[in-house]
Amino acid sequence: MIVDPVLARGRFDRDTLPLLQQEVAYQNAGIRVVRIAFPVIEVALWWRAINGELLLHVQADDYDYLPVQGWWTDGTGQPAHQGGSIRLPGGLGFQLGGDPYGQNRTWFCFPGWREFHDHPGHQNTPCIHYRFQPAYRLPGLIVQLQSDLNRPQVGVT
Amino acid sequence: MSNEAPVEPRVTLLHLTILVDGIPEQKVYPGNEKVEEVIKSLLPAGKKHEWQQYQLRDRGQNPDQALDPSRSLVEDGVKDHDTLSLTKKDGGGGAA
Repeated sequence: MIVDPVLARGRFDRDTLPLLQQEVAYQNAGIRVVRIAFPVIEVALWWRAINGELLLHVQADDYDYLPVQGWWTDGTGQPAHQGGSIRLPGGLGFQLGGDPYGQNRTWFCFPGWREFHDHPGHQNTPCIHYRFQPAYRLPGLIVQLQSDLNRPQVGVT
Repeated sequence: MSNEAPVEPRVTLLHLTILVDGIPEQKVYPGNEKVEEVIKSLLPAGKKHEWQQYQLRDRGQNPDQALDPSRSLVEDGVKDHDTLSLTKKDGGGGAA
């Protein structure tokens, strides 16, 4: 634990407030809130390629000193894996495994996500550069991820 | 011959919810406003010149397609009370 947990929770609660209070607006944009309980956010993102939703788990430990982590889940809360029952996106920044910590889990190679900033290939883009930009706070990250998910270049595995 | 003044075409005002930086904002735009101008209006002063890096999406009318910035909101199929989102065209992801 790096950040005072009470402070981290306060920042998390502040930044997730729009997701809770304006749930319908997000749902109209393809983002359905499933659960928000510090330090976890679970949302379902609309994915045109499968004409359905994909479940996103966001882990916001030490928010907001460290960037958040994220991965796809299988509906039971467990990480989804390539070759499993869930169809997953691949390509662009949607990684299917081999995160910087050696875990076999999907991860997001996009600025603002912890795996991106901890990757040896991205040490020239420190997270501090993004930390206070509104687009890289929790709602902004999720909305941008949903947008990227629906780019035509993203494949279905 | 009629002496009545010509009737000006009415401009449709669209009441929209737009996710900007992920936060819902209530906005009103004329339906004939070009999407390019809407994008510029939503960006901060220092970023307006980068407007081509951004896109507006309307899941309701154009399922997950970006709106054509050269057309007006109405021409792009946007309707009153729609929810749009402003995002970067490219979130910066790439193969590690």
